[in-house]
Amino acid sequence: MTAVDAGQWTPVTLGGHPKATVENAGEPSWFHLVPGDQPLVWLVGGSQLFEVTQSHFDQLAAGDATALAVLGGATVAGPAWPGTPPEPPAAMSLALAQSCNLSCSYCYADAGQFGGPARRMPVEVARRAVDTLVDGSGGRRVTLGFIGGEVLLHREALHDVVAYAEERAATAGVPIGFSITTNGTLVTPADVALLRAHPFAVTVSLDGGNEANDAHRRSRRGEGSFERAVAGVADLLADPGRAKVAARATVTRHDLAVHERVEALAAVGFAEVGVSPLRTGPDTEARFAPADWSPFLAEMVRAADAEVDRVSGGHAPRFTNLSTGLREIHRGSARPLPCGSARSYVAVGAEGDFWTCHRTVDNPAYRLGDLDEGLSAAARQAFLDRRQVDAQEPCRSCWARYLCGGGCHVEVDEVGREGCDYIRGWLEYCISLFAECQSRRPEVLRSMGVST
Amino acid sequence: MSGLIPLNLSARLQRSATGNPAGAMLASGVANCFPGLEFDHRNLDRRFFPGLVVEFADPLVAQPSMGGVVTAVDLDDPALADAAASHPGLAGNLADLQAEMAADARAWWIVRIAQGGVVIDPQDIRGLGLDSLGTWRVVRSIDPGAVQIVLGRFGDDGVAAGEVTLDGPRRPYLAAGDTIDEGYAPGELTQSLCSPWQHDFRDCGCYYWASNHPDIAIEAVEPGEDPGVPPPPGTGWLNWQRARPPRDNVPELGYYEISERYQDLAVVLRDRESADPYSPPTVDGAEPYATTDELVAQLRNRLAPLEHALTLEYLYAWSSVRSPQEAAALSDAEVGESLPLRFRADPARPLDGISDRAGAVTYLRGRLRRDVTYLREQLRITFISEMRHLSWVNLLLRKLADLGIGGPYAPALGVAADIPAGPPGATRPAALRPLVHAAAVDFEAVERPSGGLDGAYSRVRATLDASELPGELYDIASRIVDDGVDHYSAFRRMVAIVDLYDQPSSPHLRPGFTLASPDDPEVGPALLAQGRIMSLLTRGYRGDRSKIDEARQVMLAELESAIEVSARNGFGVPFF
Repeated sequence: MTAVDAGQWTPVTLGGHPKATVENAGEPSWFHLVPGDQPLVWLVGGSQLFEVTQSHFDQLAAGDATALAVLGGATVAGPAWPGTPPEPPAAMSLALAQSCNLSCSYCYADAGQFGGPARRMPVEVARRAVDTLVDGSGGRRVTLGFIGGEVLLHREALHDVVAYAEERAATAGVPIGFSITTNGTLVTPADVALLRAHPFAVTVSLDGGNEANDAHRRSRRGEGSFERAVAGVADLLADPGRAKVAARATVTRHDLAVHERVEALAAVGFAEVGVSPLRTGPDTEARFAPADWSPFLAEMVRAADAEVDRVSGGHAPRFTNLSTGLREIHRGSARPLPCGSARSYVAVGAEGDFWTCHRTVDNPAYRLGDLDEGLSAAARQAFLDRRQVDAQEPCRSCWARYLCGGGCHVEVDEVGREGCDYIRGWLEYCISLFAECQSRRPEVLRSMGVST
Repeated sequence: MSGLIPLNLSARLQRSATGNPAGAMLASGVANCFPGLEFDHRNLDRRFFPGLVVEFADPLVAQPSMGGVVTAVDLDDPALADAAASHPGLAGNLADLQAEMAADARAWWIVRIAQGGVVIDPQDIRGLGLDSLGTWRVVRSIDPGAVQIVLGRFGDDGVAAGEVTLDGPRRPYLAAGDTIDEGYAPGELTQSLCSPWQHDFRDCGCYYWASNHPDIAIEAVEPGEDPGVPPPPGTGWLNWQRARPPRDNVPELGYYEISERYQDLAVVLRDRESADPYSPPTVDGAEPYATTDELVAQLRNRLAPLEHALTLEYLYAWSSVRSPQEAAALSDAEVGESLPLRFRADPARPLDGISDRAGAVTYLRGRLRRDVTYLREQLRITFISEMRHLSWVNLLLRKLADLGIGGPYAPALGVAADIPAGPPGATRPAALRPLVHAAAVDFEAVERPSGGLDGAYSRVRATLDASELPGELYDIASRIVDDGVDHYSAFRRMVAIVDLYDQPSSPHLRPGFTLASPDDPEVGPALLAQGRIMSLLTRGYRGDRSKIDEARQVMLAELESAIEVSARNGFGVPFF
């Protein structure tokens, strides 16, 4: 990423209120103007946020050379590419069970099977994966994840591997954490005990209240799963022990409401709730259509506004989409990739193959090797070279690219990039909110873990 | 930046970060941190163990500990949470230690560090205790992962009064995402920076300061002693940072001592400690040549050939000296035969404090090996240096020719027939001789300041200084003059060494070493290599740098080894 010539680019300006969707003018941009009571400039290089005077703001909008030069002096190069070569991953998720007891209509994993026969990961394979993870750690903290399908269908393996991994890591002096994604319907007391006893990040897939959830998350016989899931996780929510439990809700176009989902899941007892719009999968009725993004942004903003009011009133934050966004803006994260897949994180399939992430298990285009031949550094680098945001269109000219990272690799490969305007709108909202809270409601940021 | 108010961390970092000096930004630094031009690396290593803050310091009394003392127990250290999984007892042990420290004023020092089967404790090293520098280096080399440290409590008497063992994972130093571990408070890393003249002589791991050897000096001149006479080889050099007064447990001044008592350190001028006021040598009063034509003539006809001749004389002498391997391979009888004459004439007279023959043989064997190493190294350095002078003289001639002075340039590669012999005007014939005493004396004479060679270049430099010619030419001439100073001291020492061995057997020389005739096949390869080098230099001096590089390659890869092969068989290569 070479230094930007301040005189060369024209800025992308807002069409109106920060909460409206934003169009990308399609020209290379190195900063983004966010109007409001506090005129703000987001400098793409280095993900830097500045407050400016109104007159400076207007000059920048008009393309004034002096104003641009002042700003140009503050810009830095974007994230270098290629960066350091990928090291052994610090996180690995094991597809313990490529099968599921539910049959959610939108499942990307084809009811957990990823397009193949239902199967379980042999314990020996799981242990070998653990060995690979711990041995490559260089003493750094590692995270072992368990995914599926529904992991708890193979709970013997889960319990065995957790014990094995903890012992292995302790011997090597390597700190280890765990994560698990589950539909919550099969949780037993023994599972609860396991999750409490170890540092687990537990993600429960629930889409909201009874109705919202059971609209899509049903068993093969068509029964809703909400009641069973709530019952399954109740004890864990009441006393999580060392676990941190969060709910992850999928939003479909049938019901774009976000705030109500968050409320309902908080009512169940979840201290953390995150939402994700449905873009891919077999249920084409439920996937977002282009016209859905704008109303969805409005819903997200509504939920975020409610969250801010709650937190101002002294309640603990729970809407993780917002707190994550604010934290990243606060830090000025500038990343050329949307996530750690293939870089710091890989998934292991039941047969011991490596995949770029949990969503690409058994998809040959995303294979990175296997436990016998090892992780292919070349495959990883090739994948990352293709995906990094400055090599993508239209990302490379988008002001939000180092915050967004280009979007989930799998989703983009499958359905392309819709909803970029939504992403930009949401980020702009978060930027405005960040600045506003910094000056007027710092307690909101503090309680979200953003120390300024 | 006026008008831009940084709101988030990345924006603020580009402007100012809490704790950082105003001018410093880690990202723009020289990126030297050993200990650190931006930050003292020890500030990182102080927290190598989760929950502990140590300082790398030397105990004031001799005690069986390492040079690291616990200054604080930090139970809020975020690394302790990570350590809890692999080392569940650690937090409790640290809390106990903290309580002990609160109840008892005696300090806890690191006594032992163990990792992966390797144990470092003071008893390994001289039994005196590893000093703060050594301790820091050990800590620096701890791998990520589990490490065990043993702490001992010591009072003023240096006697241990309590011991505790702690097991924990070494702090990774970098958090996920490659940011600095959160255990460090803002400003902590930059609370001290590199302090070159105080600490780098010991701590500089990149050897930047050490390469200039400012920490080694010749001892001060005794009253009545001639400061121009260098000390005998291997003696007279001192650790400039030595503890004053001398002490056993820590032979050097410590970090705080050196800052407090800097006035006690000696001023070092021209490598020698000096307490006297310094009088700089008088400025060169050499007389410029009358015309630039005379300058060119001197360079072409006198100085270049002289450098060339000396190069070859030194090269020949180098090849006549035994290699250290050959010296080591001598039998006792052979070494005994080589014992200096004055010892053999009177066996009862001690040689350097050794009064028995067997002991003398042992001593001389080691001495001989060291001395031939020195002689060969110095001669090699010197002939390489003379080659450089030759190329610089040619560079001067070429640049003068480019300026229209002295006619078109042609490489000056002749070999002088006469060499200055010391007294002004006196000369001796150029000759290829082994390094016998007479030769060494002649070498010293020609390199003496204001003796033959130096004086000639002084006039060159004076001419260039007085002229309107570009300053670059003056600089080149100065380079030659300054380079010559080391030759003189080196040859003075060589004379002293050769003096010791001056007898018919000359143990420092290869036996039967004789000048071969040019058509002797034994010296064919060396002469061929010489010819190739000359041919390459002829083209290289005209401006083709690659030919000079190639010549250097031939010199290093072919000529030296060819000479050695001939020399080991007693054949001296007839370079001229």
